[in-house]
Amino acid sequence: MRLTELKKNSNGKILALNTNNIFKERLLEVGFAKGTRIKFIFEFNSTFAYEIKNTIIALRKEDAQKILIEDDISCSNLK
Amino acid sequence: MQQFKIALIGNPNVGKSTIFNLLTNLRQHTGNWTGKTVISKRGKFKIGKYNFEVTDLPGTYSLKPKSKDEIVACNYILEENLDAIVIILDKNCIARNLLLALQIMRHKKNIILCLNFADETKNIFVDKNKLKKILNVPIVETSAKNNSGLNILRYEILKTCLGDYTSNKKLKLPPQTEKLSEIADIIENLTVKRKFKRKPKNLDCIITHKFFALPLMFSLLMVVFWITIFGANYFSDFLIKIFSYGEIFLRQLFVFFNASKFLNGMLIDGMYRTLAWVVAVMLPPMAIFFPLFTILEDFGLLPRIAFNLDGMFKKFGTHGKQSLTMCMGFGCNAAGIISCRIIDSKREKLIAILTNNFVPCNGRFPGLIILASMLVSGKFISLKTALIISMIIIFSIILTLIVSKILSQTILKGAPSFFILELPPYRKPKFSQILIRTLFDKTFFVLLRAIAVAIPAGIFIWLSANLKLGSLTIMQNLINFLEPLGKIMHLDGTILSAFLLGMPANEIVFPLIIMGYEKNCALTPIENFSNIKEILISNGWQLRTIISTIIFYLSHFPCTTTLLTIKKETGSFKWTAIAFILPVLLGFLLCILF
Repeated sequence: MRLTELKKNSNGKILALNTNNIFKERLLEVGFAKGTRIKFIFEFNSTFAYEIKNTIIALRKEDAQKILIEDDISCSNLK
Repeated sequence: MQQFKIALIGNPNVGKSTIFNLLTNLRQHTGNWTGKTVISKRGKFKIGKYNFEVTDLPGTYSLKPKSKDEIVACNYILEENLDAIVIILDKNCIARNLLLALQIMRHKKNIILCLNFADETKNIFVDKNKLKKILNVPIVETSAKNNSGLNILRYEILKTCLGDYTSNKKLKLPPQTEKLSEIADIIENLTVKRKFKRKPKNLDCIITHKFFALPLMFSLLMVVFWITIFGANYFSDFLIKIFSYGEIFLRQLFVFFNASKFLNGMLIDGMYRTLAWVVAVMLPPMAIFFPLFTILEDFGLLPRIAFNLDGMFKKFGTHGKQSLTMCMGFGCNAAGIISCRIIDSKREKLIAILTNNFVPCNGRFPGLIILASMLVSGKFISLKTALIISMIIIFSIILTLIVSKILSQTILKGAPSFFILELPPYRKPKFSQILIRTLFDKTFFVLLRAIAVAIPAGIFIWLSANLKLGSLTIMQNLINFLEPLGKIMHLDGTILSAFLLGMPANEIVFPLIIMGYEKNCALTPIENFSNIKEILISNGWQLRTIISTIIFYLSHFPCTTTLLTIKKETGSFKWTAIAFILPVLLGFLLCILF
């Protein structure tokens, strides 16, 4: 699923970054690596704030859509 | 005596500037303005007989820079011959911060890791010995807030510089960011234990609230302006008094030396009065506005403002961070333009630079207040005036957004870039440090530049008001020449000449208008408000004149300092010319249409 589909206050795990080089590079630098846990905390006017690696990072909706995740429920189903 | 060269580097929001201030005890000088530590700062400190020169670099996420302030940091770290590099990490999020550290370790040796915010992170335990073994560098925990760990840091810097760490060498690491970030995660898992999770502060619920956010931010902005304007008023009066004593003293001195009337006029009436006016009007609001701004920044509010406004700015084809450069512009447009470096995309940065001049800076506020208070009857400063000022500010913001939109659809067309913004935790600002820091970084610097332009401008203005060209003074000639154009715009020649002659510093535009009407030979201090009103009305001012003047105040050519800054930041005459022509044309158009 896409990162934007994550419900408020729930967690997910990053699967892939579907995006170009500079943006991808920047995402990695602020902590969006594969396998990292991410939590959606709040939004304002289609800008979203996520908690990742103990910091809050804000992304635009259309940017967040490029990030693929699996949510906690599908994680537990695998186990 | 030996001198060592060291540098401080780290991600944004890791408390680097505070560590730098504590290390150097504020013995520092700034190479340039800091939008947000936008260019390197240097400082000195001493341990025993050894001298250290420290450079504080702008915060950067990686050695693969994307914005201009990051390029500054990266080039410095990679190219300078440094005796020691102190990498500052936020102890709250070591894994993410380690990425930059690992990138630097690939290229450089003599590294010291400094884990900051030890006071905030009592729940996080770092196995420093293990970390030291893995990375082969000394590790220090500091708390800038309690001033702890600083001595150990100094000791480690000294040891590193003296070459005591023979094992301190470059690490063999892969270059890909992806792999490095995996390694950083593994290192954190091996060395960091979190006892319990800290509860995040719930302030974000209010500040980014669906309905409250925008009114809250706007009222906050108003409070900042209110404190600035009212506080500055008292301070300005005080300075004007001091300067008038200075003038009396200077006159006596000139009499004593038997100086000629010409010299007397040019230097005292021209140079000294203009200088005194600029300083007395400009210094107080600067000295209040910039510290307030920095308090909001250090508290963590400014990134939230950018976050809240990004949605709106996106609709106008620009970046949310432009809201911050605009806020800075309210202090000083030149400082606002430098702060545009925080915007990554070149296209969006140019839009922010070209439109920054539409928000009125501190130098323009006094004039705008006089104009606003003319629109309401009664006292000089009242609630109604404040309301009108708020409307003027809203108008300037709308103007900025509309011009941004037009630019993004025409000469600066392009796809919107991405928006990634870190929202740091709310932190209690250190007031004493802020006061000193802003005084050094911004106020002092802006003031020096203003003085540098006020001196020649003062001489020039006096000459133009006293030297005759034909039967009239140069200024009168200029006024007559501009009169027809002024009339089309519902202004007059005097007002336009004042804007033109006031180009070196917007502070003197209003005094110049009065000077033109009164046919004085020098700037006269504005003491009595009702007096001004009478002078203006007797010179044919109407409601329309006031409104047109307000419009032209917001939308005319940038001041000399701002233009020079635009040239420096864009490196192009073309964009500087556009930055000059665009607001003038718009100002003409709006004045004529209204």
